[in-house]
Amino acid sequence: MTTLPAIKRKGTAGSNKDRTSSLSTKNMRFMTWKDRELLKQQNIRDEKPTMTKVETATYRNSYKHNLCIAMLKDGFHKSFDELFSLIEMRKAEREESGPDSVLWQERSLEEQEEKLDQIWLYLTKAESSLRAGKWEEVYMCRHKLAEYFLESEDRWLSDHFYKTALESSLNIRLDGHRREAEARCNMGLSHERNGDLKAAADEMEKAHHLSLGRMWMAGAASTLHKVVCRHLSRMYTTLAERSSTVIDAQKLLHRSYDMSKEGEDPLQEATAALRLGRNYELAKDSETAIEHLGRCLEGAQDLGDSELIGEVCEALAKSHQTQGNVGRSIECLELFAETSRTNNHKRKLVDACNCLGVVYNTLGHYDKAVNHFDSAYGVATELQQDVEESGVQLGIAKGNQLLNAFKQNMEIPSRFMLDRISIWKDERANEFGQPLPTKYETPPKTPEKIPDPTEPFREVERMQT
Amino acid sequence: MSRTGLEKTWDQTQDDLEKSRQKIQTALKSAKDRSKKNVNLEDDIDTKFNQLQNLGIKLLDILKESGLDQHPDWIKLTESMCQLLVPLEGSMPFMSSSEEREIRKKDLLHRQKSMMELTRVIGQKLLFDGKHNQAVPAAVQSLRFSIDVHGLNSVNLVPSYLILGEASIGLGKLSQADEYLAQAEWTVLKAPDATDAIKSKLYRNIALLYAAKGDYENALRMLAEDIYHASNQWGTKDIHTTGGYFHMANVFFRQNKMDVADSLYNQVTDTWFEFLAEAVKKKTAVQSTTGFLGPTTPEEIQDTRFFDEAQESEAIQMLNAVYDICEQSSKPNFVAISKICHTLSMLYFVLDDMTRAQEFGRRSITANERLPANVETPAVPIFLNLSNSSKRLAT
Repeated sequence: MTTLPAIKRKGTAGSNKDRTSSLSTKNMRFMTWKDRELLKQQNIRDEKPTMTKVETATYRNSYKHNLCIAMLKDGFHKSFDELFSLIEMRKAEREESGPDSVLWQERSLEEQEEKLDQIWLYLTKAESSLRAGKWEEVYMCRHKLAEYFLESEDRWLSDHFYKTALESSLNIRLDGHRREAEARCNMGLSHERNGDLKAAADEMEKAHHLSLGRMWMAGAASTLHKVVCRHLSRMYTTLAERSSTVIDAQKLLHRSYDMSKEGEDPLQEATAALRLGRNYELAKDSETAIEHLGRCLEGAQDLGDSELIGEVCEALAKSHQTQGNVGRSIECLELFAETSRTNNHKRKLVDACNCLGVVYNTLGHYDKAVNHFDSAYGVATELQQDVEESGVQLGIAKGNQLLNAFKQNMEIPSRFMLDRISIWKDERANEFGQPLPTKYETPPKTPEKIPDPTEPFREVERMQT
Repeated sequence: MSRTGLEKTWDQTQDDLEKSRQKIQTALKSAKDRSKKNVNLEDDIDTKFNQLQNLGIKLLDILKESGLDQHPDWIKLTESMCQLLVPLEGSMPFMSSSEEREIRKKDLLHRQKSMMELTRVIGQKLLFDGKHNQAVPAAVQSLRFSIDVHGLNSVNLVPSYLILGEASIGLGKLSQADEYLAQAEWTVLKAPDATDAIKSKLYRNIALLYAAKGDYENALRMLAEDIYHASNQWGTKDIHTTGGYFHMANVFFRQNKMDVADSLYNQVTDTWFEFLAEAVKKKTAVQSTTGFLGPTTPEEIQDTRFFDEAQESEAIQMLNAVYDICEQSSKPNFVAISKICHTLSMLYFVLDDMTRAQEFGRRSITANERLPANVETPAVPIFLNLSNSSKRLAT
C-alpha cells in the first residue's frame, strides 16, 4: 500500500503545483512508475483544500457527537441534556429487556440522523424561547416534535414530548388554559395508545373540564370541547367493554352516552345509546333498555344508517320479547330483516330470519316460521355459513308444521292411516299433509309383518342394560 | 469526646509528625550520600534507579524551599516518597545472577510507578494551592516516570501533560501551555483506549487555554466536548459535569450573553444542590446513629467524605463565584440567590465548616423573605438546627 504524501499548506500549494506540473511535462519520461504515481497523488492532494481542526473533528466524530457539540456550543445545555438522557434512557431500557425483546431490534435514535435533526431544530428553538419566557413557543415546539414522532411511529418519543408539552403548557398565562386543555387531550390520547385507559380518561376529563363552555377551535370543523367529548365517549365505551360487572359497565356507558351527546356526533350518540340499551337489557331492565334503544332508533333513522337500524331492531326485539310484548318484537324483527335485505347484509338477514322463525315457531305460526327459516337456510347456503344451524331449525319448523296433520292421522284409528304414515316414512312424499281421500279404489293389502322402526334402538338399549 | 482526649490525640499526631520529619531528614541525607557515592554504576538498572533517586531529592528540595513541608498532608506525601528512595531489593555489590536482575527490575518498575503517581499527586496539590512554579517540576518528573513505565505514546502521560498545561496557564506562559496541551490531545487522539474521563479533562484544559487567549468560539467548542465526554462517563447531571457547565457559563458571561450564562449557572447550582442534599441526608443519618451508638471508628468517619480534594476546592470556587455573580447582578433574582446560598450552606456543612454553613443558611432565609409570597421557594435548610446542636456538642 502506498502512503499519501504529507498535506501541504494552502499558501505554498499553488506554487508547488506549478513547479511539479512543469516538472512533470519535462521529466515524465525519465521518471520511474513509482514516482509517477506519487506525482499523481500529489496533484490530487493539492486540489483538496486543507482541513481545519474543526473539520477533522467533525469528520472523526459520530453524528450524535457533533450534534451535541453544536448544541452545547450555542449554550443549549438543556436541549443537550434532554437528548442525551433520552438516548441513555432508551439504551438502559433496551439492556434491561434483553436480547429477546422487541426493543432489542429497534434502531437506535443515534443512527437516525433525520430524527436527530428534528429534535435539534425544535429543542433549541424551544430553549431559546424558554429563555425569553415565551412559553407558547416552547409548547408549540414540543407539540410539533410529538406529532412528528407520532407520525414516524416512535411512540416513546412522542409520549415524552407530549408530556413535556403539557408541563410547559402549565406555565402559559393569559390564554385561559387553552394550551393546557389541548396538551391534556393529547396526553390522554397517548395514554390510550399505551393501553392505560384509566389514566387516559382522567386526563381527558381534565381537558373536558378546562374546555367546558369555550369556543376554541380544533381543526376547521369542530371545537376542542366537542373533540374531547368524542374521545371521552370512546374511551368510556372501551372501558365499559373491559369492566367486569354489569353495574360498572352501566355507569361507564352512561358517562359515554352523556359525552357523546355533548360531543354532538349523532352517530356516536346513537351507538352509545345502543350500547347502553343492550347493557340495560343485560341488567334485566328491559324497560329502560327500550327507552334508550328507542332513542337510538330515532337517531339511526335520522342518519339513515340502515346497519345501525338493523342492530337496534335486533336489540329492541329482544327487549320487547323479554317484556312479553311479542307484537312489537315481531315488528322490530321484520324491520330488521327488511333493512338487512335491502342492504344486502346476508349474515344479518340470516340472523333476522332465524329470530323471526323462532318467534313464530314458539307462537305456533309454523307456516310463517317455515317461510322464514327457509329463506334463512337459502341465504346461509349461499354464504356457506351456519348451514347446519339453519338446516336444523328449518327441519324443526317443518316438523312442527306437520304436527297437525300427524295428529289428525293418528286420531283415525284405522289401519290405513298407519300405512299412510309408514308410506310417508318410506318415501317422504309431500302428500302427507293433504286431506284424506274419502274413498279408496283398492283396499290395501295387509302386510304380513309390520316392521318396528324402533327395534334397532331397543336392541341397543337392551345391550346397554 | 473530652477535651483532654482531643489534646492527647493532637499531641500524639504532633509527635508522629516530628518523628516522620526526622525520618525524612535521615532518609534524604542517606539518599544524597548514596547518590554522591554511586559514581561508577554497575548496569542500566542502577543508572535508572540513581536517576530516580536524584529526581526525588530534587523535588523534595524544591518543596522544602517553598516551605510546604511543614503541613501534615505534605509530610505524609514526602514520607511515602522517601520510602521509595531506599536502595533496591537484592542489589549486590558484585556480579548478580539473572534472577536477581529480574527482582531488581521489578522493584525498579514498581518504584517508578509509585513515583509517577506520587509526583502527579504532588503536582496536582501544588496546583490547588496556587503554587504553579513548584507544580512544573513535579509534573515534569511525573511525566518522565510515566514515559519510563508506559512508553511515549500512552494515555497515561496525559494527566501529567494536563498538570503542566494548567501550571503554564497559571504562570501566563500560554504558548508553552499550548504545546503541552497539543501534545496531550495528540496522545489522546492516537490512543484508542482513552477514557471519556481523561478526554473531558483534556478538553476542559484546552478550553481554558482558549478562554485565556480570548478565543471564545473555540473555548465554547472545547467545553462542549468536555461536557459531552463527561456526560458519557458520568451522566449529564453529575457533579463531574458541572465544571464544564461552569466554565461555559463564564465564557457566555464574558461574551455578555447573560440569559445563557444564567441558565448555565442555574444548572450548576441545581446539580450541586441535589448532590449536596443527598450528602447532607447521609451525613445527618450518620450523625444521628453515632449519637446513639457511641463513638465510631475512624474508618466510618472516613466514609462520610463525599468527594475528593480536587472536587472540594472546585466546588468551593465554583459555588462562591456563582454566588457573587447572582449577588452582583443588576436585577437580583432572589430565587436563585436563595438556592445558591442554600447550596453553599450545605457544602460548608458537609465540609464541617459550621460557621459559614450557618451564615449562608441565614442569607438563604433572608433572600427567601424578600420573595413575593406566592412564589414557590426551595425549602429552607432544615439541617441548620442539627448543625447548631452538633456545634454545641463539639465545643
